[in-house]
Amino acid sequence: MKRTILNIILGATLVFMAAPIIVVIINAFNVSAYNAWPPPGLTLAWFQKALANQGFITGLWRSLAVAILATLVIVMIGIPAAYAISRFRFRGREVLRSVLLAPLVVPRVVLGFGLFILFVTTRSQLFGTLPGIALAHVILVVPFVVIIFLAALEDVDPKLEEAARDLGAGPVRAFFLVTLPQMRVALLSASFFCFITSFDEVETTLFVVQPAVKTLPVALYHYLEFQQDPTIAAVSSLMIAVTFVFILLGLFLTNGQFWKKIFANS
Amino acid sequence: MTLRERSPWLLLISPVVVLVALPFIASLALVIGFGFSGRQAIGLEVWARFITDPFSWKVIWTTLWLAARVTFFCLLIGYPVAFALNQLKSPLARGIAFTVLFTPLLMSVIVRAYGWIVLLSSQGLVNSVLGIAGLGPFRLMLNDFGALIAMVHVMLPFAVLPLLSSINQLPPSGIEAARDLGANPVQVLLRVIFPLTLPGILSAIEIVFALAASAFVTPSILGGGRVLTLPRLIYDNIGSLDWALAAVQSLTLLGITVLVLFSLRRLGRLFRYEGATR
Repeated sequence: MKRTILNIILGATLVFMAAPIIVVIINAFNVSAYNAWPPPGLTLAWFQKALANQGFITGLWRSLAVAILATLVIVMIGIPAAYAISRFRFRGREVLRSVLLAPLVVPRVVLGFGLFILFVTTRSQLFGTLPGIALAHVILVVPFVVIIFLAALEDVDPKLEEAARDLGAGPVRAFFLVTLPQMRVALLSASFFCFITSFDEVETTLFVVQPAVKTLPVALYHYLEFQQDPTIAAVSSLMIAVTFVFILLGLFLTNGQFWKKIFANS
Repeated sequence: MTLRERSPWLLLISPVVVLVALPFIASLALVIGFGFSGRQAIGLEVWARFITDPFSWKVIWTTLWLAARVTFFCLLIGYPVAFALNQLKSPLARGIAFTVLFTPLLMSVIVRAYGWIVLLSSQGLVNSVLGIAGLGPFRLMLNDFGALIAMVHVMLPFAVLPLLSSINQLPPSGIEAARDLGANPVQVLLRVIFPLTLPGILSAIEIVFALAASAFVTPSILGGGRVLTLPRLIYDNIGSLDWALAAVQSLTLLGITVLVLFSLRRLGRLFRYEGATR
């Protein structure tokens, strides 16, 4: 009895969660430019329109480039930082940890605004460029990634590293041969999470893009402010597909531990 | 001795310090700087302008009230949903439920906002279903309702996560003991389950409220011009080049989220302490 009620609530909630995503995909084929439901007819015209839109196409390439760059950077700086925090005792260690977790607390809009002032006032050439946007995304995902890496390093027995060192491996070699392979699942989960977050990010990105250099989500946001025809649905369907492929890939490569790695620790 | 031998950690952390910590701290410092800039070196003029404007208070109220209701509905739905997830035994059902519940979290907020437009617009799915029953059409978006429902959709997974982890930790023996001692289901829920899951409830409130108060895209698209929140105003002010006012609003928003997090943490510690002494 109690279980039935709970399952009904769960079922209704799952419908609620899935509905907006499913209608977007169906609406991409809707003949009606005013999103009339049920669709009076089906068409592929919106996909053609979306693919003919230069803003969306270049936006897509930019978003992919930014996401790849951000993911590479976060892995290359996040792993050494997490390693230092977990294996060394040094002054400022707790401070560094807190600073790296702090972006979680700062509203994305505020971070975007701060980076916008930073990029513009320092004339750093970062404003409105792909590296600048990637940097903003790196700062956004740093807390999640550090948490994932720290948890993974906790699970690696330092004795194994010591054994490798005793057998003559240098510290770097010991890390790459012993520690890193044991962090494989965490590394993959963090990378996929970073890629997807960067690819989809709008709220911070809006502040650091220039009109001529928009990422796909930003281009969509600006389009949506004026028009709401199913072109958006067509592009959104493609974005849903990209995200979904990455989630499935993440689930597959981490033996189903993807969600657990990303969310269990945070 | 080289630096690498003496303090290897310095080499390991310097990239993250240069690329993340310093820009992050510098950008917050700049926001603070712009917020307190005046004709002299330091000024409170912009703050005075912000505080004396009744419009500011209206916007702050809108932001807080919307975030509070989003938090309330997320908990109301999230609590039973977390229990239902906890009770699901079949791995297939679990897999499907988790994927449906958490996949939207990784979809762009733009995509989700557009989904709600398709559902809630005057000719949309919800109105056409209601139309069959001879009701409506209702105005379901470009108002407070549209912003609220779409934000609950965005935030709900964040509420379920901490609730689920505290429910997973419930000792079955404690619940059985309460039942054996004659507690009815309502008593078990209120006096055993609820206090034990309180840490999860508090962290759900913490996360959802902070995210809801700082949300920009969802309330902006679904609320239209009728739901003016602080994040929206910050964005608009940058467009109109009023950086100082945007900075003051940013600091207000940051202050609100930090205050909420801080007080909920304190509250959580208080309850833990009480629980330990009882």
